[in-house]
Amino acid sequence: MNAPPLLIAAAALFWGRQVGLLAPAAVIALVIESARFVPWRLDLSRENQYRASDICAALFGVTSLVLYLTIEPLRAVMLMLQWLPLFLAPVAAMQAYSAARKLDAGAFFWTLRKRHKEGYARRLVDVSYIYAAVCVLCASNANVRTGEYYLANILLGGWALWSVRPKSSSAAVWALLLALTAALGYQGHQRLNSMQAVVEKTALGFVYSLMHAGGKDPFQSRTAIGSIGALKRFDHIILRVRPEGGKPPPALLHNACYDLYKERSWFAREAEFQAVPAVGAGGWKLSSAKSPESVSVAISLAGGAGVLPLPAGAARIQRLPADSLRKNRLGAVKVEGGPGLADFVVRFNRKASLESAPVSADLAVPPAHGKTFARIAAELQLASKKPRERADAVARWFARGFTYSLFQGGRPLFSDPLENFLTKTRSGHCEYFASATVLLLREAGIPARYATGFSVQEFSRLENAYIVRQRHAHAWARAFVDGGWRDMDTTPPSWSDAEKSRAASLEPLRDFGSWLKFGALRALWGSAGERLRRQLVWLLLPAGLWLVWKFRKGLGRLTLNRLRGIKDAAVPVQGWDSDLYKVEKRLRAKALGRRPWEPFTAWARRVGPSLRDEAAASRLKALAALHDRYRFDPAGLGAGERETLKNGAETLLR
Amino acid sequence: MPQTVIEPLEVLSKITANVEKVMKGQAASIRRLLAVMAAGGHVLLEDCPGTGKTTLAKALARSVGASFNRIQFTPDLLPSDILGVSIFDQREQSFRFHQGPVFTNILLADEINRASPRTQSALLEAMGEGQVSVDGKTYVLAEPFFVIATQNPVESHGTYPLPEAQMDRFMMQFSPGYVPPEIEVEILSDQEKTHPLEGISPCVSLPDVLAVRRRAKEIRISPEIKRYIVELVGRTRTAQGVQLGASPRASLALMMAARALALVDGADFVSPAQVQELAAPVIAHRLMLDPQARFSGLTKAGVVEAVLKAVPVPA
Repeated sequence: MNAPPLLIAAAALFWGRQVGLLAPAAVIALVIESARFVPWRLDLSRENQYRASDICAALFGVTSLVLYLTIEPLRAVMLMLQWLPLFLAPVAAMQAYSAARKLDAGAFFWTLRKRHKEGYARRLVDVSYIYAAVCVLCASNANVRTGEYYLANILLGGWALWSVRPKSSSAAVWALLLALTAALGYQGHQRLNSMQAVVEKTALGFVYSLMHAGGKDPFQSRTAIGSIGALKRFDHIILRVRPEGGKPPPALLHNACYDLYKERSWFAREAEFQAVPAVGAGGWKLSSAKSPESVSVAISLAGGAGVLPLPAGAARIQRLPADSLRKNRLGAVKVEGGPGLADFVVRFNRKASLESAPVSADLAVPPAHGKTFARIAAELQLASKKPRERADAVARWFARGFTYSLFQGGRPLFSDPLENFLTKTRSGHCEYFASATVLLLREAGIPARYATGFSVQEFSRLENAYIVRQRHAHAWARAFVDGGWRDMDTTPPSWSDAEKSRAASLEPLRDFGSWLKFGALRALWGSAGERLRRQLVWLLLPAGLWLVWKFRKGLGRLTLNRLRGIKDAAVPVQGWDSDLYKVEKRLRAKALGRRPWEPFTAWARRVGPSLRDEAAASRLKALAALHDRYRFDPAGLGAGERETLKNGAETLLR
Repeated sequence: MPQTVIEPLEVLSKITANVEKVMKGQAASIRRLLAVMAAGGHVLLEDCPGTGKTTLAKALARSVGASFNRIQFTPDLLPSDILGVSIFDQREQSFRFHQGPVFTNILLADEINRASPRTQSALLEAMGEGQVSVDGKTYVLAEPFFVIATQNPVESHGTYPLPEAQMDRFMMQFSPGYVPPEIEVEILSDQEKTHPLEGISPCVSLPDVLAVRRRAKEIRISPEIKRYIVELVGRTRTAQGVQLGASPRASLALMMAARALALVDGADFVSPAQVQELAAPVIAHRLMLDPQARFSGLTKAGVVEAVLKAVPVPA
């Protein structure tokens, strides 16, 4: 092995400690370092090296795929980076046990295999140092933010560099320089870190100000009102809804409600979340209303947390194992510590509602819009009508003469986009309609709120369920009529067709992929998946064995050659106890050491003139010749000559 | 001419003394030349015109009481001019093979890179296996068969570079080089009246040379030195700028040559210094450099020198 003793073991153990895989790391360390004490070596052909590294790569690929399908992609990437040394270990072990001290670079690069076939020379790589470096790098991925990582980095780096340090300078100077470098590096990375924090903060703030956060934030909904050009929406499936009991599904699923409109954004005031009491395993009681209908909803929750889309009047939730469920007065329900895929059942009552009773804020119209809405209300003669009729009149007014459009042309310079929508263009997307409806209802004296969520409209025969895509995200008004909160969706019904027409041509294909992923997720997060998830690592082991078995013919016969000589450990060689070594050591201290490529005879010729006298020089030359015979003549030295060598060396040492 | 077989060491020193009468200041070249002869290889001398390549070869050939042929390679030389040709004998009504100049003990292939590659290749079988196949019949060459080829540097006008396979057949390639001015003056004085080459007569017999070759095979070599040789040769295959490294034939040649050099030095075992001395002459000419590396000034000998510096010597 080329790396200094125990470097790989130390790096592997450090990695195992950081990422919490100490047992596999110990096995790796043991296997690789044992190569120093094993008297045989594997005679691995180039093809065998290729195959072995291919198998490792295939295992890595399969595992990545399984992880990608079962947990969130980002987490999968992080995990694979953490586990990388596991997959590289066979390659490192292969080098440690192979007769060649390096592996063919083609084992890692397909292009090099091709180049080799074209007649280019083979390039060899020494994997031992690379493996140690990968261990250190992957350990960083565990993100254990203590000084231990830096310290281990320095120690391992120093260890690796120690064997190649310039022999001419003293160890103390070397250590001092290493310590200095470490200190400078520490300072440097601290400063870089703080600089990154500043840049990140600034950049994030800037980007956030440009972004339109979706309906996920239960406290604020920034609308796209006022932005021009086509509204960008996506086709991927985010929800699956299965009505139970043969009834149609609720047309709208609520995410959150907001009550304050300001500067083209909706805010939820005084909407602190309160814990929802749990009822049995996975059951939650949102309200005590009767709940005749039920629907099952499946949504993937990033990190097991998020806002749940629920039908209006949701009363109970079942089959949702989570740490906590909380709701606010505006009917938003938040889950924490839940599964990666929440597949739960909601019991609901279309006539009930989760929200609190209206307050004066639910009648507030921003002063900037007061005049316009007052004018429209007067036009519609709302003041003279009963509350129920007023709401109908508002709905009728929007149904007449307004059109749905995802595209907004340029807007007049000094006019508010919402006013522009109401008075001039009369064309916009759901956020325009919902905001305008809420404010008009409020002007008419009907308490109203702005709701966001999803519209359930597309049935998938493939999944035998209603699917909700990102582009089905919707906004509408909630009006307090006849003593209860009612959905009031004034967006023209044509909106779903308009959205559908924008579907991507590859949508069926992507839906199929999404369905497969959903199936895998459900298998993992379902009741049976609990066990599966824990044993995923152990499932990989048989998969690996299967792969090896599959490739066994290709592996060919590994020939075990007893190549004792090529073993790195210092086997006693002929003449190892030559006394000239002592002389050389003494002269090395006087900067007259032998260079690594210099035979003793050449060295004796070179340093001879620097010795104390002519006699010493010629004695050294004679001894070097004798030493050569002692070392390299298979016949060896006679007893007398051996004595001469010993005595001559002693004379020189004196 | 002495007829009894004398001690191999004495044979070598006699030849050295004889050749040194003609080749002044070329002790290192003579050492190497003798090493190749003792190891049973062939040698390629490459240098500028007029540095004494041919003289060195002729001096050696004349010192040994063996048959000697010289072929002057020219662009129009044909393979049959070297190997021989079958001619129809009218009297016996059959083809008779007329042996070419290759049927000899010492062959001087002068300016070998002036002939076309086709003709150069005619020597391949003779050098590799000591035999010649013509018209489906194989003729075994006499022992010893020793080719001393000379060539001008490849960049000279009117030369064809030797094919790699042919280069690989030469155990060693080296350049005698220019001698110091005072030696050159001596050479002038020597040749004032006659050429010293004319005063040379054979000092050893053919059986003597064969005995030297047998003795070279008895020189001991330790496994450690063998590994060192393999390591040196192996490193050329991965060295930067090398397109094609040296083959195991190079390892073999280096071992044989080092053993022969040990014999020339009067030792009965190989020491690392001998391997190092011969590494460049034995390995360098077998390498193929990347065009890119060649243009940037890398030389084959430079590669071997770098490898020598990179591989720790057993000591």
